[in-house]
Formats: sequence, C-alpha cells, structure tokens
Amino acid sequence: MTIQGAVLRAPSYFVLAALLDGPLHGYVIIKRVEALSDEAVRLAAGSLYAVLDRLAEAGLVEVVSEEIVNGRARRYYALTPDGEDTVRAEAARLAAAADIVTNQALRRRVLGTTAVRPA
Amino acid sequence: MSDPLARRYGLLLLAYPSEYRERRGDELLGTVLDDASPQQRWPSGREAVSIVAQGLRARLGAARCRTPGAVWSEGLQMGALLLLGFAVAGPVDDLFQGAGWSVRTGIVVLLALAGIVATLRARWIVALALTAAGLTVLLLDRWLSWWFGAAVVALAVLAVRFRSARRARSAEWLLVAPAAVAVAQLPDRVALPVGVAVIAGFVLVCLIGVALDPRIPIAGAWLLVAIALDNTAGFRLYGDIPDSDTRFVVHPAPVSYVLLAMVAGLFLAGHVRSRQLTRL
Repeated sequence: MTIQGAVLRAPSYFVLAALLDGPLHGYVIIKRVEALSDEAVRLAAGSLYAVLDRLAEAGLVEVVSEEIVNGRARRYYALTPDGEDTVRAEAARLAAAADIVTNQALRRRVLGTTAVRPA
Repeated sequence: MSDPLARRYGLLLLAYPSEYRERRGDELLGTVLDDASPQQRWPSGREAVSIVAQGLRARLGAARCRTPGAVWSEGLQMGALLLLGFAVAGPVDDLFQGAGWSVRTGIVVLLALAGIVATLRARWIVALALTAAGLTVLLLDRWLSWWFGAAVVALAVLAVRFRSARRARSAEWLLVAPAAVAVAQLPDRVALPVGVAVIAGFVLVCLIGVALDPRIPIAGAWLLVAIALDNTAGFRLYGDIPDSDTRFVVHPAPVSYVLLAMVAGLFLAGHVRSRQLTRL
C-alpha cells in the first residue's frame, strides 16, 4: 500500500465532493461544502470562484448551463470525468490513511515481522 | 443596482480587473447576495476581505502562476528589473548632484536600459549579456556595482534554470527606471522619517506579497541582496587623494548579516507560499 501526499487542498476536495451528485451553482456549492465538511471549510464567494477557476483550468470541473436570475447570470458547474476520478482517488487515499490508524490488524500486517519493538 | 448592498459589493468588485468583472462580476455578485440576510445593508467582513484579496491577486497576475517554478521565474524577472532600475538610478543621481557624465557612464546607463527592455521581453541571454557588459564597464573604472552584479546572478539563474519560462511583462515595467530614480533621490532630499517610511513601505509590500503574490517577496529580496553585498565587498578608497589607492575589500558590515537574514526569510516565505498557492 502506498500513501502519497495530498493531491487536493481541502477547499478543492470538498467542492469536487459537492458536485458528485450533479451540477450546482455557486451559492449552493458554498452551502454544500459547509455541510459536507461539518463547517470546517467555509468558502467566501471570492475564494469559491478562485477554486472553481483553478479546477476548471485543470479540467476537473466545467460550466454546463447558465440561467439569468434577478437579471444576473447564474452558472451551473459539474464534474468532468477527470474531476470525478480525481476526487474518488483522493477519497481512497484518505481512507487508506485512516485505515492505518483505525485498523490494528492492517497496521500489524503492514509492519509484519520487521517492526521494531518499543523499548 | 439600486439595492445598497449590491451597490457596495459592486464597489468591492472593482478590486478585480475589468476583464474578470465582465466575465464573472454578475455571477459573483449574485452569489454573495444569495448568501446575504434580507436586512443586510453592508458587505460582511469575510466576504469583503475575500473579494478584495482575490481581486488583487487577479489584478497582480499572481493567479496565472500555476507552479512554484513559474512563481520563481516571474519573481526573478521582476527582481532583475528592479535591480536594473536602480543601476540606472545611481548615475542619474550623480547627474542631479552636479557631477557630469563621462562617455563610460552614458554607456553604462544605455546598457542598463537595454537590459531592462530585454528582461521585460524575457530574452534572458540578451539581458544577461547586456547586464554583464554594464558590470564590466564599471569594473574597468574600479567600481563594483552590486545592482548590476545581483542582476547578472538573477538573469543567469533565469537563463540556466528557467530557459523555457519566457513570459514577457507589460511595457509599464519600463517605469521601473524613473521609479528607482525617484526612490534614490529620497534620502538626500527629504527628512529621515520619509526614509524610514520607505523602509517600512518596503517591508509592508513584502508582507502583503507573502499573503497575496509570492513573486513580490522573491523580487524584493533581490534588492536586499544587492544592498547586503554592497556593504560586504567592493573597491574602497584609501588615503586622501581620490583614486590614489583603491583596493578591493571584503569586509561585511553588521547590517549585511541582518539583510542576508531578511533575504533568506523572504525567499523562504515566497517559496512556501508559492507551494501553497499553486496547489490544486
């Protein structure tokens, strides 16, 4: 098992996670990110669009539709196939890292017989 | 935009460049208004800070650097431009002091100006050759200019390590020379508090740079490199008669150590922030 460094920062991870169930517009993404992260990640609008710009440039999200509400543009963002792969791979990496802590049997198996016993 | 809250958010959005506002302004405004309570009349502090910070990042062009390498190459380029600006400022300052220019001084200024143009056009090798020529001409006069010296080092790093990173800067950067001339005049023409204000302003700009644009502390550090080296090594005059006994001396002044510690701090802060800000 190999656990490499995190690919995504927390805001990007939760934005991608928020989009797993379908396209959303900016305000709903902010609220979903808050809920999914148990309010650990609270994105201001300026930060949200900076994250969306980076993810769009990396080809992980895309604008899929646009509507006018109260005279203002409202765009809906969706995961691209790459975006879905990336967030699922990151989730698997985090789950594997969590397993090392919570699963004693796995920890023993990984350490095997080469483990150094504490003094 | 009759709603006072929308109007106030609209003012904050001016922090973004106009191209970004045309593309995103309406959408961003809609999102912050969706998140506002019905009675709210003023932008929340959190949203205001975020909009201004991200707007300034977009305006500075920091957001387009997607790797730490891109941040370093642009920081080095900006640093070289600042150094060459001050290389021009020295001889111009002499002119203001009433000292005439020799042909050699004129050549040095032309080389520095040509170096600025080549650097802002991202022609590293040409800029390096021009800057090294300026340094050599001054050395023939037994004058070691660390503005040129540090610029040679910065451009050599760009030519060797960042050969393919060739992002030209806007022509506005030509103003670096007159700006450096203006700054170089300050200590002679104004009272001490203004000199202190210039240093405080430099530190403040670097701190803002650490938060918003890591290219700024990297570029600013190069100015301190030149000042630290100027206080460490160079041709020094001995005796009463000018040019009677000029020797090359390496003797670091205490301030050099302070400046080099600041350089290390600025490079480190710029590097760490560049890694943080360019991560997805």
